Amino acid sequence: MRHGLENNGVIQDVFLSPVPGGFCLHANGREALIVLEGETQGYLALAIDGEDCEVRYAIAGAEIFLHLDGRHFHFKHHEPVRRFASTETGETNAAARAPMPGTVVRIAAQAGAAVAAGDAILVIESMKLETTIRAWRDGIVEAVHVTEGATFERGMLLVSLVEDA
Amino acid sequence: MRRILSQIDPNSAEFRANVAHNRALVAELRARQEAARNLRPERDLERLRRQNKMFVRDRIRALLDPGTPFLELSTLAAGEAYGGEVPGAAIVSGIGIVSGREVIIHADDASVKGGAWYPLSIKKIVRTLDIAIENRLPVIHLCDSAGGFLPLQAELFGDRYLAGRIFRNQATLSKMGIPQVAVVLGHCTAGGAYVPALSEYNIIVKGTGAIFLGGPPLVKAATGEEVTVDELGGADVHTRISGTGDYPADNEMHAIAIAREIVSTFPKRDKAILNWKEPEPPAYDPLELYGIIPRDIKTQFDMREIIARLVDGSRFHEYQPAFGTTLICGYAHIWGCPVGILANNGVLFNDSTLKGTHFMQLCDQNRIPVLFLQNITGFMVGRDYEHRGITKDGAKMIMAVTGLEVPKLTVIVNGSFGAGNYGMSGRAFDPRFLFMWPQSQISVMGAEQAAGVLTEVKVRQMARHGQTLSAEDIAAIREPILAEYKRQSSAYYSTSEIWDDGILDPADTRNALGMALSAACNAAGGDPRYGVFRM
Repeated sequence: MRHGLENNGVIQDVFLSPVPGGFCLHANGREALIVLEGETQGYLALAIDGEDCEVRYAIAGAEIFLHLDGRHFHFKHHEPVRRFASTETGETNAAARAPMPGTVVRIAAQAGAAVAAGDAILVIESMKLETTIRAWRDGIVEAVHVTEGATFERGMLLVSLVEDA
Repeated sequence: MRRILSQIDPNSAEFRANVAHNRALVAELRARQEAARNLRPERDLERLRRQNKMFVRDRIRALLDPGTPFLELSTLAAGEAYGGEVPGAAIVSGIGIVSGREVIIHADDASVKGGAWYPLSIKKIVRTLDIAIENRLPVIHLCDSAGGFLPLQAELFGDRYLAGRIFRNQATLSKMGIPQVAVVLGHCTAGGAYVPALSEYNIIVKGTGAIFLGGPPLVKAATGEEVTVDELGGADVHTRISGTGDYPADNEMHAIAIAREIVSTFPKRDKAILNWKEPEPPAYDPLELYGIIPRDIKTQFDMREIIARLVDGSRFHEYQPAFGTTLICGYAHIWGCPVGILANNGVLFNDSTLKGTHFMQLCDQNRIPVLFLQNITGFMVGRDYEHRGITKDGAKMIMAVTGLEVPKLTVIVNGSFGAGNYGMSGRAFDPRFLFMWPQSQISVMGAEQAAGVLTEVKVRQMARHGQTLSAEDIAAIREPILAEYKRQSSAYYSTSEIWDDGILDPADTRNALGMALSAACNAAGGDPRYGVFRM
């Protein structure tokens, strides 16, 4: 599986395979022999198909910044598993259900309140653990289906969100 | 492998409050460690100088290769025992590099009670040698002990894991072909005499070092013979006449130099065959752990955020991400070493328990060491769960954790309560190393619940005798129970009793695990083999 490198909104498939004396770069339907000739922090001396070049680079998470032949490049690395996943989280869910039996400790956002993803809506306690149920996306609290101090069974509806109108 | 994408906001009020709280806890840990390592009454240090002896920390510094890390174990052993008067249980223990070889060091600390062995000193030495056996580490003993602490002799002599175990472990190491070097820097009397005698190599410092079964006063009492220390068991006697000692040394630095030369002759052995990778720092700063560990042990947090700050590149391949979500399982690397991780993200249910059991077998099959990150309040209770066989599923997990042949490492990140401790490789399940974080707690159940139960029992007892109690009376019963229970659940109590191998600064955990894994990889474990799983 090739890696995706995004530059100016276009994702290119690239892959580096080890070969004797260096690496083979597979990109754009072509292959190039890359030899690493020198390396220090943020600097590479390379020979690409026999042609010497010097690259300065910085990597911040998935962002890659390159300086080569007086030009700047900005790439974004797309990890294959994330790239091809259609949903990383269950963002489309409209409601949160109780993961286990427990009690409601506190309700932080009432019906009608606007919440941003990550805002606390209610705090539950079960098996000596307090868990905060947070907004899983931006929206309006449609209803909190429990009251403070109430006990609930596993799978019971706790809170539902609707899209911000 | 994918990076974990952190959901943490380092600018949130919650994060900052956690940072302030946890930094204070780490400062307290550092202060306690500093005191246990270096704070001694001037008269004890003065006595060492008068005897021409080095302080134990200086001896270890001279012994280790400069610029290499030293993983000190159980620094705060005996911290809550003996009125706090025996820091470190008068023993220094740790893994370091000597002449390019990984070794484990046992050093008596003569600045504490003349290096007398208290019951917890014995426990610490036995544990040090257990680590040597399990991880095939050569041992260097720096001997300088007044002998067993007689007023507590009943607690350090007779039983299976007491003083005799030191010598049994030494003989076991020898049988396994793992060499030991003893440097005799003070008197090795009675049982202590066997430490150098059972080592493959020993060095005695002239003038200060001596080995004998009974010292001059005991000899005089037993037979009337009058004899000096040197005539009885000094360097000359043992290296020229008796053959109990191997190398005479002119002074301590000379002795340590000889020890280093001996270690340089040890063969370097191959480590377990693993797919080591080039190490990569985590993508998220380990210092952010201070903002993630909650101020209240009851507050739930996502263990992926912890994993993201421990493993190489914050890369984690999560196994069964949608099943049994209260136990996170997956593969990662720490300092280039592959690990399988089991981390609690809530109570253990039937599904999470089965997933953990399955995943442990995968790691064993792949020969990958397993890291347990504990934050566990227990297995789920209740009719539904019993009907689904939560006890039998927990038994499967315990069967797997016991059967695992690959090295296990455990970090108690937060709570460790009840049977969850067993399933997650608590001390009884022989993880190669077990560490705790400063705020973590360990007990059979939570402090509040236990104090509630104990108070209830007492109140009923008194009610049977016709006594009625006011709310204040009940509180007066409950408060001291709760306080004592909390003290005995704390990481400082655990580490004092050597239920763990030390308390770690969370931000240092990655480094400690790197060294622990490297040591563990000296002994890969046999082929996978398990007991009977109750299906």
